Amino acid sequence: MSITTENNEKMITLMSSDGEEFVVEEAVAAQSQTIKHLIEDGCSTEGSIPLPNVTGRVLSEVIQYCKKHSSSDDKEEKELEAWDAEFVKAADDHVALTDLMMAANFLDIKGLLDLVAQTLANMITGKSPEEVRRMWNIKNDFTPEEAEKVRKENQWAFE
Amino acid sequence: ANDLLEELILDILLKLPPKSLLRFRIVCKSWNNLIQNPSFMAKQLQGSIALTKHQPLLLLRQCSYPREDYTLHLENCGFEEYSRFHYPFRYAFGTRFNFVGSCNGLVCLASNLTSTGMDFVLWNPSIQKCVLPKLSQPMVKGTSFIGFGYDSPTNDYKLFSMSCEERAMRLDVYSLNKDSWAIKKQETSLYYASTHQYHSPAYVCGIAHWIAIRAFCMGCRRVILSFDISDEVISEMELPDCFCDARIQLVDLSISTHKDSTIVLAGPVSTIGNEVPRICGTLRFSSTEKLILQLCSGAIVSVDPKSLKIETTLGNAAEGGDFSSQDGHEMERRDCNGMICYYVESLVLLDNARARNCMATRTPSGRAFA
Repeated sequence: MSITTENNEKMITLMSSDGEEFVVEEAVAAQSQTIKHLIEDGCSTEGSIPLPNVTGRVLSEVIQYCKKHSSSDDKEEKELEAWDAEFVKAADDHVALTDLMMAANFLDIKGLLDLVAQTLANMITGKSPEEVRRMWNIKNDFTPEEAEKVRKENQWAFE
Repeated sequence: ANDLLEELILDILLKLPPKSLLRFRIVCKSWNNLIQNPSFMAKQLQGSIALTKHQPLLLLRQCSYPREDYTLHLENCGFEEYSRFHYPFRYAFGTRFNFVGSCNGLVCLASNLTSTGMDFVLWNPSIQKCVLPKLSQPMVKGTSFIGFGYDSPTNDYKLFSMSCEERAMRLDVYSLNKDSWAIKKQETSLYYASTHQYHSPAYVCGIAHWIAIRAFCMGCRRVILSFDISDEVISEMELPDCFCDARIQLVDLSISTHKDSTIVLAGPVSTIGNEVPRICGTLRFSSTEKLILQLCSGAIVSVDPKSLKIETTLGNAAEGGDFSSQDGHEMERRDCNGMICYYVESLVLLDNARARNCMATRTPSGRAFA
């Protein structure tokens, strides 16, 4: 069942993996290509769209982003850039950003995906390989000899 | 377990500068394989090119013997320094390198050894790798037109030099993929001379353009000489009447690109500050519609094209004054081959089997390396 607001905006309900419900305008939710396709395929008539890969905490952030980006037009590009910068600052650690990036990837929101990827890239630019491995629990599968060989080839990049 | 989805790694890595990518090759094998993959390198380059459309990077070369500085600057009002490259080469055989051009992150330098041929270096300062092409065949005495560019149909980088011999144009082309020089000759009764040695050509859509003086029995005329990097064909284009008279020494011509078209600029039109700007192929419009040019002191400045007021001086140009005034020797020692051009950070040469590590290796002959 779809609800309509006073200004005749079509509303849909999104349900997170932990059962939290979010009622949003269809135009806002359609920023996500995944949701847009689900709506087009008629999957929203049952009342709510389940999003099993996204928790309520992350989904509320995603909706915040989509709301801002569906209400702004091109003229406000500078203001939007500043808003984006504040938005990713609020997510502040790499764990929250990684969750957000995975959600943006699943929901197929290109702008958000680029924004978070750039933020994570900026975060690791100056870091050592060891620090990067720790951030994402990446296993070092090089033998010490192999690692030394690659390191030697690019020694200056470590200085 | 890895907390990061494979498909997201690519998105993050594509937004990192080359130096970080080199360092992150030892994070794990899959990152190493990804970064060295030619399709990743191509995507990285496309991303870098797209990024510089939005936020251009300027490569500034400043030399005052024996020092050479290569720095990257943002094209904002203060030309803020973005990064600084270590310069790994030394002057071979007492000569120095001249700047030929930059394309897709590669910088091409040449030292002019007419007796033994030209000594070229293709250098990617972002990853500190370089290729030293074989020496070219000895050049003709006198001037030649030298350039460096990318041939997209064959995904190759080419070095080219055109020079006039008796009744013929000689064209030398080096292909990075083939690692060899090819020489072609084209008969002609015309003789072309360049107006400045190492005057960088203007590149538009894969074609290099130089200002040349065409000598013929009828007299001299200034023209645009062009070289199609893909087809390897030389052509000539007329200049407007006001520019073509080669006898007028007062008007110095320079060629540049602006918004994907070739522009010809005439100067010196006026004095700027207390100096007459010297045009040496570095004159150009920035994306903010400012004129960037080099003054006699070697300083590179941005100038408002209407008021001709200096708005910003780049790099150590404040020292420029020290050279210009009192000391004639200092003036001579100052290299006038300062240069500025657009730059793109890339991984080009990372997968090239002949590429050497600039920072670690010495060539057997010691050629070109510090």
